[in-house]
Amino acid sequence: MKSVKLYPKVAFDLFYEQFKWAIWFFSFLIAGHIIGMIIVARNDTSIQQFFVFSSQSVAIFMLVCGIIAAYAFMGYYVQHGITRKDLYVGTVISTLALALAVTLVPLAVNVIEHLISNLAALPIDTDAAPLYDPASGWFSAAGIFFLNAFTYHLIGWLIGVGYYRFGWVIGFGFVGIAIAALSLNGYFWGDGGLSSVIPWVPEIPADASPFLALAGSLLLIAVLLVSTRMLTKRISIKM
Amino acid sequence: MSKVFDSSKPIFMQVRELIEDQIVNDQLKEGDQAPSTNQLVSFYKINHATVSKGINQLVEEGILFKRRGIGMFVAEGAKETLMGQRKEAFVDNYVKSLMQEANKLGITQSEVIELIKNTKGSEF
Amino acid sequence: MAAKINLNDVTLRFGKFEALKDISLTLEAGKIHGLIGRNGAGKTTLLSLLAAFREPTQGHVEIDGEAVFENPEKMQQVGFIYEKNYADEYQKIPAMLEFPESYRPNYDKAYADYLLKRFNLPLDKPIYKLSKGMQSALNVVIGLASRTPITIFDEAYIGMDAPAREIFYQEILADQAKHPRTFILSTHLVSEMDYLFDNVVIIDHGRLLMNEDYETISAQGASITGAADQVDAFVSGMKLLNEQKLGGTKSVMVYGTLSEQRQLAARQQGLEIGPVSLQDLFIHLTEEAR
Repeated sequence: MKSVKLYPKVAFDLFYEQFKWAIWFFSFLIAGHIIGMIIVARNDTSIQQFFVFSSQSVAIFMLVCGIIAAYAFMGYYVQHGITRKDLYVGTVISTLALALAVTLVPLAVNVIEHLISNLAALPIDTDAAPLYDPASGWFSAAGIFFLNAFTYHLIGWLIGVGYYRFGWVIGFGFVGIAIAALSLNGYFWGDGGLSSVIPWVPEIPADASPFLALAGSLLLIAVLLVSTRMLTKRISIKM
Repeated sequence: MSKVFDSSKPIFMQVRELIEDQIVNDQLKEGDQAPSTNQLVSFYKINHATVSKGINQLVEEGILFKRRGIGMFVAEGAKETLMGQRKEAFVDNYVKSLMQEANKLGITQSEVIELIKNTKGSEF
Repeated sequence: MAAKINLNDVTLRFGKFEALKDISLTLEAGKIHGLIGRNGAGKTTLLSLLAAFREPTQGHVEIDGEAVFENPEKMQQVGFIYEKNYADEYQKIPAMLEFPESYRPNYDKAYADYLLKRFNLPLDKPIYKLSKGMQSALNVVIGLASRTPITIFDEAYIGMDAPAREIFYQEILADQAKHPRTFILSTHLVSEMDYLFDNVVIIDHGRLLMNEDYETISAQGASITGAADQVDAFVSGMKLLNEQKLGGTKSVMVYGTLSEQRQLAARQQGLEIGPVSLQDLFIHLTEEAR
């Protein structure tokens, strides 16, 4: 039997499965945004544009996807004769693709909303939110959105793997690590979040040094990738 | 283990007798394909090793022959050979035990002959 | 397509508990191996090593001479079928089968469809709604249709009724004749399945007790029936597995091989000699080790 590299196939299947979840998720989110627009229109106020509106929810969605991915796919793939390595590489590639997809969908919806608002007045707040400031360029806004989505999925994955491997008690420690990682991520991107969680950390706005933010974020991603690989490299499969 | 077989004799002997019986009473004619080992295993729930042992004996004795990739067939003259063997064994298997039992019960030789004559199905 | 399995001094510990102790064995390619052992003997643990679900603490697990753990080629060759929890499986059977179809190189869809029909499995119901027996039959279909060179059924019959188990056994034999592979059937239904085995592996308390072909194992014991005093005289000095008495007649099971001469001697004394079932041997061997 010729040994075939399986990770591209694994990557495609994992992406396809999670993209199906993402379609459901965006359907609800778009419905939510439309309902939101109807409500704010009555009160004569406005709502954030979809790209900004969805950012928090997308991050949470990716976190949950990551947790489920560890649980649902780890045993299943190895049972069918796929190595942990192929599964790992496949997961990383599929997560990159998924992060890209969940960045592009809100962008597309946002563009559509803008096109509609040119024809009819929509109660959308075009004032930029500080975190994803489209004013500083759509490309960088999308880039930050993408990195954020990717990081959240990796953190979810780490929690899932922690629980899978060590059970509930030690798994709970992984939630702690995850919160630290999330805060760190927020910290790099000038989210007030970290300072509100840990008061003694000084608040540094990201726009003060975008390069530092990017470097920190990439470093965090690297640490997450290495830890997950170490944890799954020789992991025992539950039956 | 299937109820067709009992523990009085090794099972592989009983397997070969089963095939022999089918040849003797013309269920399997010369040149016919005999049931395969796998069929016998599946049908009688007898282990492969046991069935093979029985079948191999028949092959060695020229009752069955193998055709590569096709299966087992009944050899030419198989029935005749078997009938000959069984006639030889008839005295050992049946007559001796008949007389042993008759001795125990005090039945004389002539009485035995008389009994045989009077037994239904003995006239032919 | 079949593959050979080698275990060299395999030990597996969970903390202080030794689940497997120093197991060395070879399972030949293309045969049906019966793995028997009492509950908790380590059957499933042993099989999970073959499927690369975990690594041994010590020793080597090899397929055709190569370590199996994280070996992409070897892992693809092993199909490990065991009782799964389908409580959350909302998929239907056809969707479920897409996965092995896409990841198992030898998967035969026509054969899978045929098996689904034979087991009478409903294709339009979510799997969690199927009975335990039907879920097990589905596992069996996956295991057989994947045609993995090493196919392991770990008590795969759980919940299946007698007719379904019968189909399972028939299909193993039928497919083995057409597409030989290495089967490992772990079971405690010894008397029901022993006719399938070419080779028998018995483990107890994580140790290997025996790994012999069926003929050798079944020649390791005999039953001797006849007049009580004659039987007693004949078997004196032999290891008795079991004895039963009915009036003056006694039936004794002994462990150990009987030479041709001894057999002849027994027959001349009017003693009947018969085989001992694998089940009886298994019960004896695992009791003795306790």
